Amino acid sequence: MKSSVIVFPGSNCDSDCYDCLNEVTGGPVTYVWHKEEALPSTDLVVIPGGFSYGDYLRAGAIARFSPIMKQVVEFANAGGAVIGICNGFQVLLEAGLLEGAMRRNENFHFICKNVYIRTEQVESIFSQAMNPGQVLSIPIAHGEGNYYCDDQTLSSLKKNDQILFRYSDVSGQVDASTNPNGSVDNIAGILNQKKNVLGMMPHPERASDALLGSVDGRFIWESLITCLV
Amino acid sequence: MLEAHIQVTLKPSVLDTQGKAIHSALHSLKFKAVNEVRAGKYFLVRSDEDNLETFTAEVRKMCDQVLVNPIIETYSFTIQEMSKA
Repeated sequence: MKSSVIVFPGSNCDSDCYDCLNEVTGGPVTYVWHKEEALPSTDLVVIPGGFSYGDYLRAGAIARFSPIMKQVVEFANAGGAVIGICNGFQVLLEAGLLEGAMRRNENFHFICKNVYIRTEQVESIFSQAMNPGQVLSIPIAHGEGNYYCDDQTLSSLKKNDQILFRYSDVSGQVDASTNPNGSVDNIAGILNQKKNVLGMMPHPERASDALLGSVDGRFIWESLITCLV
Repeated sequence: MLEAHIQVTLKPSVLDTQGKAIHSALHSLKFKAVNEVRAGKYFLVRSDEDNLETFTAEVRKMCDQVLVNPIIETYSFTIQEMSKA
């Protein structure tokens, strides 16, 4: 599977994504600098975590004007697989590829810890390797991961099965006590309507190697390998 | 030459965690009568444009396209002749 990792000034999970994809998919993986005006031939585009443009204005707000983003939007609109992780999720929201917006975490804190997320649907290229309701252990690390959308958007996300992950406990229980940041409806990851674009706050690339304590992130990459190759 | 003073705040329906933190800080400093704080952003945009109508339309576009995220934020602005530096 050919993957491309977009690199903005301030991206800091690009190497993690690169190494992880190289390891899990066998490559090739290509870094794509944000000034590039064309994507290489690729099966998957990854927008990694970090603080693109120092989070100036709003997280992800400036990155979406980078030349490469025009290509990413075209790639996504043509049905290409795109995953945005953490800051990458924020970039996808600002770029309008996903619905909603991010607010500061409800408890004001930057939260860096392992959480559990429940797989809400397996009919997507990102989740075919999971079982319905499967709980994954994946870390989060963000200050602005408090997902927001209005009631109308929330009901359309539900109706179209666009909510892929919800924050849960280890047994898959989803309630206010398992919500780390105040996100609407415990949302940790959503899909676009065509289900070829995923944004998620947890970092699967940090949970794809036994040395790091969890390999649950691999389910996402393995789903993609099955569907895209 | 004109300048715009633009204020951006979270919509009233959106929880403002910064404003809440500042509110409790003010209370701990004994400003007991304070009953709400909303935090926001301020932009000063100076332009060579002289036409008030043109500049007003431009500022609105800037807000809609980049300065404001309309899903969670709202804005207001005033325009005046450029102040002397």
